[in-house]
Amino acid sequence: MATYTKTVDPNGGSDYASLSAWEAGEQALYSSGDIAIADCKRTGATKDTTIVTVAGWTAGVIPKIIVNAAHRHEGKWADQRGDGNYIYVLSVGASGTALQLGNAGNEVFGLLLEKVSTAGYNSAGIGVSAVANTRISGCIVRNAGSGSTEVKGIAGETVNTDTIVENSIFYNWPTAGIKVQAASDSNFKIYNCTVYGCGIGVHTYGYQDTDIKNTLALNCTTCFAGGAGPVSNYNVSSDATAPGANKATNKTAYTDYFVDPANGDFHLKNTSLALFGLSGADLSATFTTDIDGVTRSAPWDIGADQYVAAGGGEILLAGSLTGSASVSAALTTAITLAGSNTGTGSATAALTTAIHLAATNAGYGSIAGELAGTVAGILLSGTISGTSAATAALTTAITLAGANAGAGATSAQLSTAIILAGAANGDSDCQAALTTSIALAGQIVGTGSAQSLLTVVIGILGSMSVKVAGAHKNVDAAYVFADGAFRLVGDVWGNVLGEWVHISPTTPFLLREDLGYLLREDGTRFMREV
Amino acid sequence: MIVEVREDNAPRGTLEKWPAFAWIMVPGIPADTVRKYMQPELSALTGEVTRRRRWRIRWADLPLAVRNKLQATGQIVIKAGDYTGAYDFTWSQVKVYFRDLQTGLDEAGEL
Repeated sequence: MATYTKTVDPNGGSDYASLSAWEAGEQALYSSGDIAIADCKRTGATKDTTIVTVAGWTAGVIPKIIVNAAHRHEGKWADQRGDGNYIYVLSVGASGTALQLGNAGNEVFGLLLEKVSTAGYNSAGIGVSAVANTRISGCIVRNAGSGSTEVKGIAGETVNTDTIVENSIFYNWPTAGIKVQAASDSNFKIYNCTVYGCGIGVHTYGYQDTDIKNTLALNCTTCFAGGAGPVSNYNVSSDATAPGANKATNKTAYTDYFVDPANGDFHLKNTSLALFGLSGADLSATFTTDIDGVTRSAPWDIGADQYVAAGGGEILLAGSLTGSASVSAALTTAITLAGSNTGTGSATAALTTAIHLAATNAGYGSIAGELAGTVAGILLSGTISGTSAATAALTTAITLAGANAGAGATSAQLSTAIILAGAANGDSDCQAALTTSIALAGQIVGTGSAQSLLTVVIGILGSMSVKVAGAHKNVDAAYVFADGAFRLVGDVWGNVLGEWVHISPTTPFLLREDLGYLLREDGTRFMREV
Repeated sequence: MIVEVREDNAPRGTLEKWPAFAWIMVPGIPADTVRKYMQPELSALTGEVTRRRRWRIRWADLPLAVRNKLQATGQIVIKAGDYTGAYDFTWSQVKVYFRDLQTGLDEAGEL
């Protein structure tokens, strides 16, 4: 038994330029037990537009159509992914079933499929005919044409056994979203599907071993028809027809349930428990993820999408550590990344693109929060209440704020920003560096040193009250900024040879770094280096 | 079996070549015009698909010159419509080898 993978790309550069050609070219090449995979990609705007019939293969060969992860939909209808890659789509205008599966063991995973034909007699998105062990998973199947006679999303036709349709979406099909239409169909499973805007949502024709679980059928003329098997359960309808002992019916606030149903985005806006008052059954013996790859966890949501807090995609990543080891959390694209460490190890949170990165360390280790290559970073904040170091770095952002209430060091760096603010209440150093900025504000009330570095600056806002044992060195905040004289906003105190000296904002002075002096404007020595 | 109809100069897969595939080029004719040779045969009674392709090319009956050309190059160029470029055969020469399996008749029409 071997696996043979061939690439399919309508834009060329692959083994085949269409699924139809793959099917014709591969069906006689292999032996029983072999697996033939069509690895579907779409590297340009051209779509695959040819009807596909998978049938007549060498007996025992298992054909699988799997959309490559880089060209797979993101749980909603779209032409391109968020990363700009085109999504592989089978877009068929001709009359007849777009994808006919007639070979045992057929599997279709992650396919976007649409019918755009105007003539629709006996036209289906996917047809399953006279085969066993067909699996359709993670597909979005829509009708975008105007054909109206017997047009259905998926049709289980003649003598099928052990068909599973899961984690898939079917919408806008005039006849039915899912139609199990042959009396000889047996053990037909419909799990975690979303059916929307169809004539009949799920039509089983009274074939009582059809197992329907965790399935939404909404905004259909009739949501469920023909009955269902006795094990069907946990279904939701917009009329009174949902089958099963546990069900939710008459749910009609569609725009409250889905992100954008009019444009093919059926991501849930909340958990199905919150939306429908019903969670789904745990079907992890059959599959463990949802339509866009999110791992399903208890309680299972109903429909093709497992709700993730804060919107679609990978939104929230949170990690915590209560021991003495380290914890790290990394996320490529997200809205929120939050991590905490209450132990004595280290905590790291890294985010390539984000809006908010927040990290907290209440232990004695180190904490670092980084936001790099950020297109639009909004807020980076970090806090440490232990005795180690805290670092927060941000390439491009609006606000960077850091605080240190312990005895370690804190530093905040920002290449381009509007505001950089940092505070230290401990006994160590506080550093703030900014290459280009509008305002820099920093404060230290402990006994360590304070430095503020700013190449181009408009103003320094804040006061410095630094107790220095014996020398003026800790007043050196001044010369770092100074390309020449500047005006100090706030008081500076220094202790020189046991004598306190004071510069107020109204005290005019010149900086003479080369001499190590601060001079009054009238030339009188103000502070002398020891 | 006719596997697919594509527009002129559409990309080809690297495995879409002779002897697994033969290309019949009809330059200048829109794909939609030729696409009828890919239609399935539908039951007049139920509308269900009864045959994957209604049309078949009678490969075994093709003239020896056509078969030799295909064997040598993997494709033939057919002149049809207003096409004025180089070609191997005319549509009139080859159309009779396209058979409608539903009616049993060979193609007699123009492209």
